[in-house]
Amino acid sequence: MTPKPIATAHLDGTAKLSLEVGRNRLLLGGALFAVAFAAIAFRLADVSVIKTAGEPGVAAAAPARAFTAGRADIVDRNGVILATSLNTASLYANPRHVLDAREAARKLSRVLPELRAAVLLSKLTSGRSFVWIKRHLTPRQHNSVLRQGIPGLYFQREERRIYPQGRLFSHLLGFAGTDGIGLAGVEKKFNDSLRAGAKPLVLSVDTRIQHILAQELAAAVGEFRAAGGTGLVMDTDTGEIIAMASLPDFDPNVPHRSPAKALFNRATLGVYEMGSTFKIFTFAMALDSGAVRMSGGFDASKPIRVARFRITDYHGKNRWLSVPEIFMYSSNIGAAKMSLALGTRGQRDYLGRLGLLTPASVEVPEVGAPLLPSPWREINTMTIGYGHGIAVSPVQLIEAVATVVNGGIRYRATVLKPLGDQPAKGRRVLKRRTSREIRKLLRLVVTGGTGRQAHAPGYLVGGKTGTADKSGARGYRNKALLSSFVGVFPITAPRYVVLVMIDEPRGNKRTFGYATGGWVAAPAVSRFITRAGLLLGVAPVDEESAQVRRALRIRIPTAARGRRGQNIASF
Amino acid sequence: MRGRVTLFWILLAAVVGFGLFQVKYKVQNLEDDLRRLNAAITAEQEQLHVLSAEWAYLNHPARLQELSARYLPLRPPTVDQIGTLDGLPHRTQAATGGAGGDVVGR
Repeated sequence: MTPKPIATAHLDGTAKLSLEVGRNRLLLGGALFAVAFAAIAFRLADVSVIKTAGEPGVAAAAPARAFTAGRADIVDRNGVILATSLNTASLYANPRHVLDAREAARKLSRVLPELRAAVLLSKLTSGRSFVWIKRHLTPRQHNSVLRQGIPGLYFQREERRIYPQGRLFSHLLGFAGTDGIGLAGVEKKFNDSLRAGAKPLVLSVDTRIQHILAQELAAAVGEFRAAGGTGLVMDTDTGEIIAMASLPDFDPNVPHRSPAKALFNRATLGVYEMGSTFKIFTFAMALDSGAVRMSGGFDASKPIRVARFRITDYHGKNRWLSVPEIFMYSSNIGAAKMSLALGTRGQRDYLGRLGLLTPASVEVPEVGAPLLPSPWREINTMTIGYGHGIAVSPVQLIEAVATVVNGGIRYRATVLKPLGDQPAKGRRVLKRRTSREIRKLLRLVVTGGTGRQAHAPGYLVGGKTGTADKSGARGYRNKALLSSFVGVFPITAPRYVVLVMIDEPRGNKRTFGYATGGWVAAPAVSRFITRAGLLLGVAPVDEESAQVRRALRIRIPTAARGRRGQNIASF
Repeated sequence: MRGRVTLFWILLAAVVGFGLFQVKYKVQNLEDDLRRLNAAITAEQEQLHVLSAEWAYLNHPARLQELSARYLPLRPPTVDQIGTLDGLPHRTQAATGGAGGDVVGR
């Protein structure tokens, strides 16, 4: 290839100069552009190759929207659903869109037999643009209406609160209204957190235990034609309520169909003069303070007269009674004298520490405040000694009994299952020794006292009967009783406390007309423990074993003071 | 020469454009699939929710008790049926040594 001849010209003077200037300017401009392009190229490489800014290398898939059905579920301690929200379809019609009202009414009444064709026809020909046909269809009804293919019918998605356990947890759960707002019970107490959705609320109750308790309570209420009743089961070492029943009850799915009095929660809202079950506290206080010793006793031969009151014994022995005997035979005279030995101030202090003077802290809105004497005179101190003149709620009572028997540590009653494994926090209110002595006394009541019918073989039941005259508008009414039994098992190392309380029981032929706690409530506790003991994880033991006898040995001093009493551990 | 280069670039642009649209449609389809699947998952979850409520309803202890009494030869265990490992007689060989004291139903 021959090199092309290059045309050259020689320029001089101003022409050459101006050409030089132009060339320089061009070079400068070009350089500027080159720098700019280089910058853009660099940035391009930086953004697209080097950095991972902007579009991610791998597109993230839109996640599935987590399904929520409004209000959160409520479950029991084992995860069994107690309350849940379901989306249901509600059927409505736009009569203006209905082509053949007669045909539509006929088809609808066929798939929804509870709706009458005539009513439907009048609805569908009303000429309005919106009429409800039926709210909250079941999925099956929804499907069958869809399959009819009737024009002018539409579905509205609505939320509905369902309580699959029906009446079983009526008072504890309460219920939520149609607008999804809790109106009673746990549903009301935790309304805000339940509405926030998310995680289910875990209660401390056990559905199986609840069922057994409710069934035995209903059986007792039915047998004695009582006005109502309540039952509670509590874990002595945590304060957790394992079961809570109150009769009459209601179906939270349709609460408005029940009479108003069925909504009343006797376990937490009702306050009652408990009667002799209160002697557990009288004895615990008197022994703990040192005012009374187990070897002591009181003369219970004559009724006590104070002002216009007269304190008598129901199961009267009319003699000097030792401390264990006073408990065993549930002597009011002995308990009143014991309370006097402790004194008003001491009694009030102890009752306060046991939580009997302030409303229970259990997590339902329906909590009754105790009724206390004011002023607190000596006569009140005496009557409180056997459970009259002070009214507390059953949940307060069971919490205090758990405190007395578990070694003297008070755990607040709760209906919530504690999160994690941290042990429940409690406060010591009684000496360990006091608790041990009371446990022996409680056992004595079941082996040889008023609570013999609470015996459940193998479970070492201890407990105390209570029979209170109900106070009416004009003083105490005779024959209107509140009969209760509070049982503890196994008494050697208590795990659970059971309270059964029957309101206005009527004695029958089987009980020879008696309607006292020992005849009415104690057998129900026995049946409950027999059925529920294994479910609660309590291993039955041989009640006659030497170990058990030794743990429960108790000396009952006889009337001649100071003499060695007989050993009655072998009841 | 110049013509060929131009043709090459035009062809390249066409191929890349075609490819781009192919990818775009594919992504669109996949996104539709994803939406459908997500809707199906939500529907499934709702179904599960309804079924779990029904399960709880059908497992009402009163109902189970009645069904058990009617169809099963089982009765509630009594205390006599409960023993402990300690209560078992020892084997002749030293093959024991399990934790004692546990509740064992027979």
